[in-house]
Amino acid sequence: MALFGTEYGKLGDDRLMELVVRGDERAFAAIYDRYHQRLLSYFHRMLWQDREKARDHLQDLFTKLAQRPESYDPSRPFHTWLFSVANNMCKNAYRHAEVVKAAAIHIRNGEDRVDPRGGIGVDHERFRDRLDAELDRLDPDHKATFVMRYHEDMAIKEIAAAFGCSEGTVKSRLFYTLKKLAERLKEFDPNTLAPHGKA
Amino acid sequence: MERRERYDPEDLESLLHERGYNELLDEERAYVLRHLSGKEEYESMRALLLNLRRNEMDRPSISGDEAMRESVLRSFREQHRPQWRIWLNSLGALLEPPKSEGFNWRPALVVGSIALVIAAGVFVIQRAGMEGNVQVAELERKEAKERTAPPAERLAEPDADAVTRGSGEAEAPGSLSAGTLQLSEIQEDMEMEDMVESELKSTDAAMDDVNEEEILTDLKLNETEATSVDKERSASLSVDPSFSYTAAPVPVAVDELDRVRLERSSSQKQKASARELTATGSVLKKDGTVPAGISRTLAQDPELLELMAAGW
Repeated sequence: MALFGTEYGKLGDDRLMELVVRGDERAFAAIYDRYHQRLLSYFHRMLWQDREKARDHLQDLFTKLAQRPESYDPSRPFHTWLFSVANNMCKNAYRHAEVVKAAAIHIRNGEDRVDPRGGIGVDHERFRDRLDAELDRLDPDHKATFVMRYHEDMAIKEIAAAFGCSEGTVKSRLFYTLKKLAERLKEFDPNTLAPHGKA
Repeated sequence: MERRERYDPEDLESLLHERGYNELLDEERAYVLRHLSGKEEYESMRALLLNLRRNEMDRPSISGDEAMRESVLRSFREQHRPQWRIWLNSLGALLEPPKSEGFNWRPALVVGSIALVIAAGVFVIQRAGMEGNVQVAELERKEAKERTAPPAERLAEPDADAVTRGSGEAEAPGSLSAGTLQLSEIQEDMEMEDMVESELKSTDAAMDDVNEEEILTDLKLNETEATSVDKERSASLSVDPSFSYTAAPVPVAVDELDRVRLERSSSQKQKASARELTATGSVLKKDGTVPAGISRTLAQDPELLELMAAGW
């Protein structure tokens, strides 16, 4: 109960951001509590499943938001704007660590390479590793589009807003990515995938 | 020309999630075949989507710890230091402070600022009242001093009071200074009057000596005509002819200064006539008339004698 206080959990993103711009710390905390999990997961998928990198990037993102909350454009939905910022951070991470990323992909492919013909008895962990490896080989925009669509359950319109492109572009990217991944991961028959923990 | 159908992943995804290739209707299969190569591609894409769904359900969630949250909030706090604003939300925080200790100082600052403003206001108001009281006390002290001062002081400095209070006020009738001025003038006039009277008495004595013989002769001449009463009256009148009108009581309303001046001038005239008489040895001129400036006696003025005889 707060006599003159506000129930921040019930406020919309735009209203919370107005309060954040005014310096309301509790509004900022509400924004953090609302989005930190999704963004951490997004960074984890986009940054080679590196938890430390994902946490560092999440902290950087909210630190930037704390320092410059006025950089948010109220004409855009907040969560799409937030994911666009996160995507740009991931792109910068790719650009600065291109060599490291290539080496990591090489190592991962060497370790996790699955024999296409020996797919019987593969489990979810193997599929996950293969999927992450194939995603890392994709173009960053295609990968981000795929992650937003199939991991974050964002609509085509929201993804287009996050990227600042048309919906047709997003659809095209999704179709291309889905088709390519299906071709590379076709040895994983869902009917043959055992439940987690079983052989 | 038939318009090319755009790929709608949401429609295709719903088909991939719900049905296998063999379960599709003819229309749906035609739609799928317009975008995909055939059954194999459709089934591989379907397997991928199903694996993704299962994978998402089984994927261990990664979460941020409390230290990261506190670190982010601390950076926000440092960035947004208070700028002496008072928010109503702070009152709510005062009633129920959040567990974060960083919030606790803000209501304290608000309450402290309000208390400071109130204290400053009270101080200013009290100070303003004290200044007014000091002025009033000084005025009262001055008035009391004036009241208790001896009259001699006030008489000694009449002009200063008149200057301070204004000329109009100094001349106002009934005022204290005017009253003291009139009193002092009257005292001076009385003293002067006494001096004049003493001088006049001496002069009268001299004049009586001079006119005594002449009066006696006049009385003899008129003895047959005047009655005994008239004789006495004429005698009494002739004894002090110059004071026949000055002996009358002076009305209160008559200005004392004018009266004194009149008496002074008349006494001077009498002195001059007395000297003239002593020099000539007779009041009458050679032609028998009375010289100017000398009062005529009853014996010398038949008209006066007639009036007196008629009972005036």
